[in-house]
Amino acid sequence: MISASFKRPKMFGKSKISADVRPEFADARPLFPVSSEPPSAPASAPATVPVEPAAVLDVQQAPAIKPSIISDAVNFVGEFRSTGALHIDGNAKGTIEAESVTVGTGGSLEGTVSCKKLHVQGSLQGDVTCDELIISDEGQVAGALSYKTILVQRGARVAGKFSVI
Amino acid sequence: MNDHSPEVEGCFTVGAGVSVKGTFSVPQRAIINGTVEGEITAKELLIGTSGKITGKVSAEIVDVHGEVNDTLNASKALILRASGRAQGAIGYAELEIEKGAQLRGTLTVITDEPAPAATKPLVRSTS
Repeated sequence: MISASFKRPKMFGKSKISADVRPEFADARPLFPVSSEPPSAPASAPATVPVEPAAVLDVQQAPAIKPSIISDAVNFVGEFRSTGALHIDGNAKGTIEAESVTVGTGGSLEGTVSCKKLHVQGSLQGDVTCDELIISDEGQVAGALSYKTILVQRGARVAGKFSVI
Repeated sequence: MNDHSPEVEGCFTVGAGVSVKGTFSVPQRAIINGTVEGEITAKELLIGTSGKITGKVSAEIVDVHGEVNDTLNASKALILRASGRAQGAIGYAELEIEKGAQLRGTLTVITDEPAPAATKPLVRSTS
């Protein structure tokens, strides 16, 4: 029994040995091997290069050009063609062709509209052909509408024939 | 599953995968997740993503996540969700269409006069 109690110090001695082993373990750890060889990833990258991001950007930036504006005191009657954007705050009657058309809150438009993006906050009457149609809560639209996607906010007054291109 | 609770009273539910035919007059809420052919009159109508109604539909509030064909009348509000499709003659008092929804047909605005949907007196027990 007594001899067993004397053995204890030897146990502590053992723990010291294991502490000496520790630094050796740290050295064995490989820390960020510096290799001049590039990984295999760049090899596959050239294959994806043919995609032209510039072409996509051009399309998106086209409506960002300064818009033509029919301001609130203006009465426009006739034909309007543009590859850019048109903003109507006044009264417009006739045929309109543009990349994007916005009818502002006080604006009104009567006639035929064909564009990619049409945003109606005011009133619109006539035939519409567009890709994206957005009618805001104060918008009033009546006529024949053809579109790819439509979004109508609550409160808008919409009446007429609706068809999907 | 309590059939006698006030929330369920006067309600009509068609589960997904179920198909029914006929004329349905629902005093409160109708929830359609299955296929319905015929006529539905309700106070509130919810058409789930998998729901499809072909026929005459009229309610005060219509919320469309699924599909409606033929005639749709919402005497108060019509909400067409992104997954919703509506086709045919559509009448509404207030309208909201989310992007992605498909809408084909004729839209008319119902004025505040007593709408044809409300001609039948609605039997409702408000507790």
